[in-house]
Amino acid sequence: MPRRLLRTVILTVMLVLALPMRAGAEESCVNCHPNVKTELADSVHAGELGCASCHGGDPTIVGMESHAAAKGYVGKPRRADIPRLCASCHADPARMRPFGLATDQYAQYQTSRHGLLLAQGDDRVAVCSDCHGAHRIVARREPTSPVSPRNIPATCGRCHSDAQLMAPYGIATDQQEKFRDSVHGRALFIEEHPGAPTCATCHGAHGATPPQVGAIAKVCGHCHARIRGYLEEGPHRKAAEEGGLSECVSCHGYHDTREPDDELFVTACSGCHAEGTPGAVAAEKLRTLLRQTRDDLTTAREEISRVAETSPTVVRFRPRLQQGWAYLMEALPVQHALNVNRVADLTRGARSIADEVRGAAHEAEQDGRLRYLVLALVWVFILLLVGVTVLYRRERRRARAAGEGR
Amino acid sequence: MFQPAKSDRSSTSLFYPLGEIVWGTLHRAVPARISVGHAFGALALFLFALQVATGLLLMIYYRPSAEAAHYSIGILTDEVRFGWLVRSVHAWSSDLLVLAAMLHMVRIYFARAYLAPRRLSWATGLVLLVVAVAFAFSGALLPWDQYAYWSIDAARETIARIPVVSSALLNVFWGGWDIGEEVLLRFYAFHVGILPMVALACLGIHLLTVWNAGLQEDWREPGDPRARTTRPLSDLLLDVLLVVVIAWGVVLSLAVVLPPTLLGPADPLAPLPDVQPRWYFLPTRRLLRSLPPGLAALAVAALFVVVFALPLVDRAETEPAWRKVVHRALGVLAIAAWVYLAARQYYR
Repeated sequence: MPRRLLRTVILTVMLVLALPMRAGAEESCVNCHPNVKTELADSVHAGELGCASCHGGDPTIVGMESHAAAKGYVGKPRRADIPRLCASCHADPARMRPFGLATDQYAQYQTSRHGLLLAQGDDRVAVCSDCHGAHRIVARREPTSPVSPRNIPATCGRCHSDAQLMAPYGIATDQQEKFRDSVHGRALFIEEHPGAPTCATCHGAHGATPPQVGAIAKVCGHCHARIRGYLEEGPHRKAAEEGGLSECVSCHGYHDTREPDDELFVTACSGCHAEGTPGAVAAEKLRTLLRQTRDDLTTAREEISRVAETSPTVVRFRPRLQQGWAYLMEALPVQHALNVNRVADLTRGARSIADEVRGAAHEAEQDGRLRYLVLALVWVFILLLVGVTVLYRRERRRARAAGEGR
Repeated sequence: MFQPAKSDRSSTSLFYPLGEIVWGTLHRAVPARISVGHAFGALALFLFALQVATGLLLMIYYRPSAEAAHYSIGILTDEVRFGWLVRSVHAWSSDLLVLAAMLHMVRIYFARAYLAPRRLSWATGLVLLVVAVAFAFSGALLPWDQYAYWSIDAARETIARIPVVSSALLNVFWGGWDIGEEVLLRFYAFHVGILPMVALACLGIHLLTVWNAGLQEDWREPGDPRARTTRPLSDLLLDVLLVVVIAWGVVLSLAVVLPPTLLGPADPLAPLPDVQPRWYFLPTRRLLRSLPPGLAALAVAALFVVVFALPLVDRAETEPAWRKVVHRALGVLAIAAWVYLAARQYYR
């Protein structure tokens, strides 16, 4: 009995002593850094990584002994070490395979302006945590992620809008502001177009670098593939190859790219082609063709809407008009080949459809007017008939009364 | 007092006795003074004839299938000469026919013209009203556009709430719980095959009984010298001609000024939100959707039975003053309830 009692007491004491140690294994970092625990819980790394994975040390020890260098404690990683630290997992295909993540980010980063400058010892450049965050890393698809498409301009802008930070590199700081009002910025922020470009679409994400002159058409061509094809057919390709023309951006600008309109022919072409030269003449022809076509199609569309108020079935011409718009949509990229005859062929097709639809709308309008005219005539006939019938009725009644009187 | 003249035509005439029958008919004595309300019956008959005429023309172009129905109506409206007018007149006269039939019934109720010997007129008239509504309802689906599809879907939902009989009703009229070509073909069969036969049979009996009983005179105080004056039927037919000609003008004007729309083809994946039923179904929809479904269905059925059996319930030749008041109050109350429920549904 005493031996059994002794054994029970010893086991109980061991259990009681073991409890804080067990608790310490989970909680020791949190004892001093409770906020970090909360941030980590929201992170994609929750359940996968612990504090020691990045910061080293021994979280099973309660107290500052856990921070001992002998325990591998590195504390806050140096900025220069962060890409390599993240890559220790993210460049490992075996570890990333279950998550379906690419493993080339570090390799790309090393080719980026950020990576190259970091390799030269400049640790003011962006490292992984500057864009993705540190403890609370959220998946890109989440709207709150700093690298979700709508947040990317602001994330890049945190450094690239900082004049003091950018001054040593001689980089402008108005890109974010310009982008916001551009056709691309409106597509991203206002129209919320799923394919709208962000900074990373043109510059790359991990391999971020400014596109070189020769590469601009290719970068824009990722989305504007047909325009790129036509551009390469035209004379501007040679100018680009010789380095004199910065391809797309020469006419459309960058960061503040606006919706192209007729005015672009005046403002952009005149920069290189003096008035009266073949280039300026071709530009003027293209401008006239496209403007007239758009005007004709717009007028036809308005005519249909106006006539549809009285003759609703006229809306059946809308699909036909849509074919005209399709010709114009075809002509818009074709103009980059600077082949006036091809554009003329397409716009002729569009304008003939616009004329046809306008004619049909006018006919429907005339038809509508005729209907009302005929209706008015029918009413005249009806009233005449009513009048004659009433008179005849009265006459009959009178004759009958006279007959009964006799 | 009007005395019909005798025909002096010989019985050896080629068309004997057709001429005599027409002559006798035109000179049949009818009450000299009848109310304007009598016009509704004639109006309904005219609109029914208009329905038959325009309906037959529509049948030439209409194709009853889910693929072709909408297209054929589009062709009819846009390409066929006066096709739009025929469709528009058909649509408007169907609504006006239901309205005329309802007003006709209201007049009959207040005039107590359902008493013997007009009991059968009342019963067949009531069936004709139901048939007119069924015609309009089934016809509304046939263009197979978005409105047609989703309004019928809303009706299906309403019917599906009725306990016990909903499955049977939907299986018979809808061809199941889903909406597809089955319902289009069923409605088409009803619209151009079954309902016209029922309508013609009932209309025949209705007109025969009316002809047999004669027109009911306006109610007059006893001793009023005008009470028993008569005139020939040809005189009355002139009045009917006036009504018909003006009604035709109204139908034509509505058809030209407000032609029915044709939305996009029926698309089961693009619901139209808040589809209202046609105006004559507004009160029924409100009732079926605000009361517990079983109770509402019973209420509608009971109401129908009571109205149908009215000549059996109210059979006294002369009624005391208090019954007159109750009779009129019930009528006014029913109309007020109908209008109230319709308004509640429309402005819900």
